[in-house]
Amino acid sequence: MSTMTAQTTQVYSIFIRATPEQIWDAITKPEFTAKYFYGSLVEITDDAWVGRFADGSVGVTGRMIEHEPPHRLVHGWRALYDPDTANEDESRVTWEIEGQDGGYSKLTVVHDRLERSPKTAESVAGGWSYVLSGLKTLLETGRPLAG
Amino acid sequence: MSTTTAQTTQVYQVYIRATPEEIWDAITTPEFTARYFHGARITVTRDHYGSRSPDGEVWGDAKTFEWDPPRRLSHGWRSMYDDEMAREEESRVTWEIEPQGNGTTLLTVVHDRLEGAPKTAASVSGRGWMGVLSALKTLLETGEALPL
Repeated sequence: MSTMTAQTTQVYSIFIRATPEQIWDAITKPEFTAKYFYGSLVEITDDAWVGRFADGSVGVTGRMIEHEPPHRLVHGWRALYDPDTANEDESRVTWEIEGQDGGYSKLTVVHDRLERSPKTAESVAGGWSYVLSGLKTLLETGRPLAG
Repeated sequence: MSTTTAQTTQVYQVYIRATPEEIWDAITTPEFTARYFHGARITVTRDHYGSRSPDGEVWGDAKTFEWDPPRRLSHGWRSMYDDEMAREEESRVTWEIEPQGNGTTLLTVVHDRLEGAPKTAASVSGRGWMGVLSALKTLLETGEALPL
């Protein structure tokens, strides 16, 4: 959000012409996430949220905290893709999906509990807008944002 | 941004599959803005920012501060569509348009100088700017309006 200091609670929202169920699938299934989440294959289980790169290495992982399809997903976030961020405390990501009248939905991502993870806070500050923009393009046009 | 207190400097970003020129036209010409900006017909020139309702009422009337097509535009903002907000101090909106080199462009909206306009700050922070930017992206990528 702020271009100077990364905030410890970051809120991003976007409106997408899609149903909550379509958005839920797009954020929880690897065949979708590979097309907009920096190539990551996201898998969720009862216990964990895991984002793997194409080579199988784990980029981000965290505990599963809440799982209420198709409206709410809350999980921990440890960014293993960088040694500096990997050593920081786990932060938290909340996805909220709200259907709206008119055939579209509001998707909000809150990334918080970043007080003890300043490098992670800085790393994701530019990234979430890119991820949500790519997700919207994929769902509305059937194609990835870039390429 | 924050869901509790509206900030006096608000930053919104969206990546759009479009050229800087296409985005510039979409934010400065009324035929485009009418399709994604709550129906507002907005005309921006080097000197002036004007917004009118579909019925021709004045919704915005301010100076243009910076005019650098197709990269940067900054203008004053008073929410004249609401009596209470219209009495608040003028704030500022800056649009930055940055090509990413892969067919996409990053559009950043900074709405600042909101210290003297708390109702306006609250109004534009919720659905406000992200609704507008979401609809702009849909229009440029699909040719269709998002029915916000």
